[in-house]
Amino acid sequence: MTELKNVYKSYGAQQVLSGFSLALENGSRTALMGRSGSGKTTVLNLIMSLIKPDSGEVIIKKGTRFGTVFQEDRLIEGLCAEANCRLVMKPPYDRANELLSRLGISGELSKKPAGELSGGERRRVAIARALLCDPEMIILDEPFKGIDAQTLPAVISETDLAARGKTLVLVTHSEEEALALSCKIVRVPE
Amino acid sequence: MTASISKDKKPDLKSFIYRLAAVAFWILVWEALARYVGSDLIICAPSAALKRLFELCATGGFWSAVAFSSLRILTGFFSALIVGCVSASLSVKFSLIKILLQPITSVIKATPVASFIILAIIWFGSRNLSMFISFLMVFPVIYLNVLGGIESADPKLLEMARVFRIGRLRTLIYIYFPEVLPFLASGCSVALGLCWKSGVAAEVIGISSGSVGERLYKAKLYFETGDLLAWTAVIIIVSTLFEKLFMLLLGLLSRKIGGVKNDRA
Repeated sequence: MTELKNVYKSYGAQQVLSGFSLALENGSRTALMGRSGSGKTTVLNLIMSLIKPDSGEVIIKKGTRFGTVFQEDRLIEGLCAEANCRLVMKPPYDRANELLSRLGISGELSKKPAGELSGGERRRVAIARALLCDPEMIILDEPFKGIDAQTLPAVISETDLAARGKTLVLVTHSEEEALALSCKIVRVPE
Repeated sequence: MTASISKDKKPDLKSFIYRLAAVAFWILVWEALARYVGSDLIICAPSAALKRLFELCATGGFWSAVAFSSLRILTGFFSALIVGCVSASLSVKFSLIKILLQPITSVIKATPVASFIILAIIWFGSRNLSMFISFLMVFPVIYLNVLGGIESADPKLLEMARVFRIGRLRTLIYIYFPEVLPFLASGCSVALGLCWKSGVAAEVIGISSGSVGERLYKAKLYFETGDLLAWTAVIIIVSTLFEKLFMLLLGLLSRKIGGVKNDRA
């Protein structure tokens, strides 16, 4: 169980979260929705302990392993898709190529440095990396942005499959995406 | 998997020919001026300096002087390279070290090298003078460049490495090294020229026995302009050769890291 209790967080004069609470059961799926700047990414950062709340409590099991798709891809530009995935995973490494090819990154494309991939391709590599690191909790911050409509169903389906039995937190503006991943929708108030 | 480092630029033949022509032009001007003046003492012709260089090459003393100076100057350079890299890494981790080193690097950069040379002669004598001076001149350049490289590492990538628990060694290889290497290469390129210039200057002032600097000093003492130019050419050739070799090895290391990234990550 992961919990945020009555959390306040501000950046300078800008108050982002005011008394925000959230409870995530192990194995649950939650989609955080709300307007831009409402603090959705801040909630994710609090869960991953990347930032501390000004007040309130964040309860999370120590040593939780996260598989994260950040708002930006945060890939290592000089590394190819497969190497980016292998960097965070444990053997067998064949899983990387298998998942990447199911996400449409195969052949020459998987050997290209990440810096030479298109926005949508980079996003798919970032998703693969998050799913391949054997996470206990999957944190996805607008993971499907930039992915073309043709590829999107396969990407969502792979995410759904990999997230089985794991806690998933999704930040999205699309209710369709949240429903496709069977997420409980939580509105983050402004 | 394929390597990821950017492809080498094709050598531009036209620009190479232009550069060669410019060098040839100035050598011709030099030769013409020497013939016009007509005194080897004032202006020694390039052909005469070249002849003198070949004569020097045939002597045992020439090679031992080159070896003497190279060994000390390069020892100074490599010591500064290691100490500079280690200090920069420690400065990022411990701000106290950064604060303590800041005035030292500023003083070294601002102080005339001659002052250090004279102080070093008083402290250590002249035998290993060029090693110390070369170290002193190279250290701030390497330290500040490597520090700049480490500090320019993308904080978002570092955060990603922390979340995915990539580990210190891999973070160093895949996130810090690609950032630091261009800074290090630029620093080394500057420092290599600097260490030879300051090292030989130290040998001239300290009259380090058996060194290239001592030969330069004697050439000045006996007004042997041909010898002076020949030894100057030797310093330029040796320092350029070493710089090219070192930068080539650094480039290979960059490529190797690129290869490792893709093959073994």
